[in-house]
Amino acid sequence: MTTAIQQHLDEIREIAAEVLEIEPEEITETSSFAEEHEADSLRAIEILARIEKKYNVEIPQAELPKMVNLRAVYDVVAQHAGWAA
Amino acid sequence: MTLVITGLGMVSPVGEGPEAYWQGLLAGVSAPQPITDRPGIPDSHAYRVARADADGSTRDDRRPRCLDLARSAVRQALAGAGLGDTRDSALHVGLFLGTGTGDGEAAEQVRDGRRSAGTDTWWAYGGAARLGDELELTGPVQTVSTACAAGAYAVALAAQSVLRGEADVALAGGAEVVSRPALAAFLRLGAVDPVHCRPFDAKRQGTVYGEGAAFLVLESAEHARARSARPLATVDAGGWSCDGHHLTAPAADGRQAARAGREALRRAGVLPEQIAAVVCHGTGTPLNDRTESRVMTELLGPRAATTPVTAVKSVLGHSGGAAGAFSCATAALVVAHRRLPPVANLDVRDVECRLAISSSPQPVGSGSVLLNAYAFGGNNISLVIGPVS
Amino acid sequence: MSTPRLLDAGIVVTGVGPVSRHAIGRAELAGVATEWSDSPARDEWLRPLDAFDAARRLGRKGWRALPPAARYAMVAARLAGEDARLDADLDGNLVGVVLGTNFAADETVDRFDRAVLAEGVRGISPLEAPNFSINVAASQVSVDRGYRAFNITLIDLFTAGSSALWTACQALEDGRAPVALAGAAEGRPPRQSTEVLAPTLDEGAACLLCLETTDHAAARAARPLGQVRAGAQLFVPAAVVEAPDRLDALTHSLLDGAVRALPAGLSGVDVDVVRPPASARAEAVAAAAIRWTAARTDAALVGGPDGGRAAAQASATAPLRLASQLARRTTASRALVQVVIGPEGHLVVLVLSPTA
Repeated sequence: MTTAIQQHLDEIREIAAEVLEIEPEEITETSSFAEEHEADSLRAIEILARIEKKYNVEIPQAELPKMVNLRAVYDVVAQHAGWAA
Repeated sequence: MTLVITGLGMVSPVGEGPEAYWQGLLAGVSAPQPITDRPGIPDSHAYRVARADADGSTRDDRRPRCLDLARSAVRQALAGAGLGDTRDSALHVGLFLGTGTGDGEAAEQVRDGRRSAGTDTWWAYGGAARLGDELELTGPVQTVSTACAAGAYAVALAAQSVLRGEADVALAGGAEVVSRPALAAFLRLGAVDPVHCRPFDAKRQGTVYGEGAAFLVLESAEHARARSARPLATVDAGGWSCDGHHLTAPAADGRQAARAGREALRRAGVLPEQIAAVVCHGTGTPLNDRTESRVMTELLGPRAATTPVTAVKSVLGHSGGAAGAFSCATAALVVAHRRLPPVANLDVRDVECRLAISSSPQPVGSGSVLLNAYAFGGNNISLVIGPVS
Repeated sequence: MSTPRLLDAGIVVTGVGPVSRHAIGRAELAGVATEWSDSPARDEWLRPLDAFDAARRLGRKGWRALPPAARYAMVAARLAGEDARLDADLDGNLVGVVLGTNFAADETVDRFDRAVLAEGVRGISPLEAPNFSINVAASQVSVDRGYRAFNITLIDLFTAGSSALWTACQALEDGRAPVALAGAAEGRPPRQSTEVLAPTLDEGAACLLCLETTDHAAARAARPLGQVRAGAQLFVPAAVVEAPDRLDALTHSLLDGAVRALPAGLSGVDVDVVRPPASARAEAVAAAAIRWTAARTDAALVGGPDGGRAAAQASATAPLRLASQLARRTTASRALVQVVIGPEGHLVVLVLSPTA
């Protein structure tokens, strides 16, 4: 994994942890926000909003259902921010 | 003691006064307008009230608009009930006002520079007391702000107040106008339909703000008879509950909403098969409509497929704290006319919403009308409005 | 009507949950004697609620996105429940919530609107977005505690907390639940509210009382702090305030009625006249109630000859004063009549007797 990807993942993990009120270490790439970290729809939108602000991208709310864990969030953001895979 | 409705008043996006309002609901034609009169407001739309102000004169935008709408609805309701001037009256008249954001516009004007801060700009909820002073009311005057169920709770609390003898007559209703911060919050949550309000439609995307005020005059049947007032309908009973689940999402199982419905029927002494029609909360929000459909299907039982159901927000938009009062006023008119207004904007029905909705007016048999109001915080109320025997 | 209405059902207060700069919890409240009249520094209009530590009271998570009034309300509900020794497994369908508030959303609405003007909709945090609604504090109590019988928010200036108590009593009387938590929660007031409330206001406060039918309380051997016998809720229009004889007739009829509502054998009645000192209108109504009290040998005014003028917690002021008196008077043989007067004409009377 390249450093750039790792850095983005860590940044998103930090954001998600803050919104979900848990420690970043508790979030793995595939741990489910809803089932393992008690995320509800409001917290999901909040994560999206903070990511939009941080990376200055616009992500449609229609993408929310896809954003179920850290890896999935990264993929959606990468697509909209034009990050190289 | 039987409680009756003897007067109605409303200022709505489809007209003022019970007659224009009823015709507007039956026609089911309305559309949200872009909001252009508020500086800095997000690009969105709402079902607006076209009127200038209470007197029909050119509007002074410093006047508290929510109060203006409420005052007009109250005056119409009093006139309709034949009560006229309450000031010379020995009656103890109460007033129960449901509102979400009240007259917050004054503070908005301070923030956007249209006005300087003053004694009349910081408190959004003085409208009920202002009316209390103007009408010289001596019964209870109360402002209820249980979000989108406030108007229905205002009617329920007013009804109890008359039943207990705290007031001889109660004015019960709600009033709401567009609030810039509240609209922005709804937009932020993705809860606004960009096209129009379309409850039970498969493509619904949220609700749409509506403005307006609706008021009812409540008194005991004996009191109405003694002064030869003509009752339009009875207010039978209410069932209350709270999901205790989430601030914005209804509990998907609808268990508490169902309990409110059953409790309303039980208290009214009405069986599900005696419900002739339902005035739904029907906001156009995907989860809300689906939950309400399930709850009503279960409550109505075998009659669910044929009991006519409407959702007036499809015509009026969602007037927040006034919405429940509009539903009460609508139910009273349904009982009086035995017709149910259509659900507007019904293009493709959501197959998960299996209630007897129609894009045309439906005939209503004998019996009572059930209405629901569900709010932010999972606060539920159902009321039964019955025919006058 | 201008006489308090007797409750058909026995309703007792079995717990108090105060959250204020004077005291958090009943034990602290019982030890405080200064809340009737304190004299803040002259240049200070808003006093912080320093003693409130959300993390200590509410734990690590779940409250950070909530407005302060909702946090105070949650803590007040937990404290009231603990004080009443409500069973943690009590069926939530048996407990209702009625909350008064004036300023639960004021700061949030102001901040949202400024953010919208500066940045548009994206200036609002989605997680905080629901907080524009003034009923978030009451709703959060139900979300937190699972209290599902009903949940109502009342907001009339200064009197809303007392209206909430009376409305809850009437809901219990109607059999909507055997238990209710009722009272008020306040967030940061706008500065201009000092003009009709008091020169110095508190940043926040809450006070919920646990109300219970006597049957329910007896069945679980709860310890009642007092019994609500009667109450009244009415409006005093400006036209009546301006006519001293009408005002006296109304106030005196209310208070005479309150005394009549009390059981025999009590040694006297304490009258707690609660009003915001900055309001001339409320002061005029208060003066009539104070005159009634002064004319009776069996009545005494709570808080000194002027009734105590501290009213820094908006709609939570009266519930806090009520809780404070209940917390101290478990063996008293005197009745308590609280007369709560708002600056806009609202009036609420609560009539309580000690329990046997």
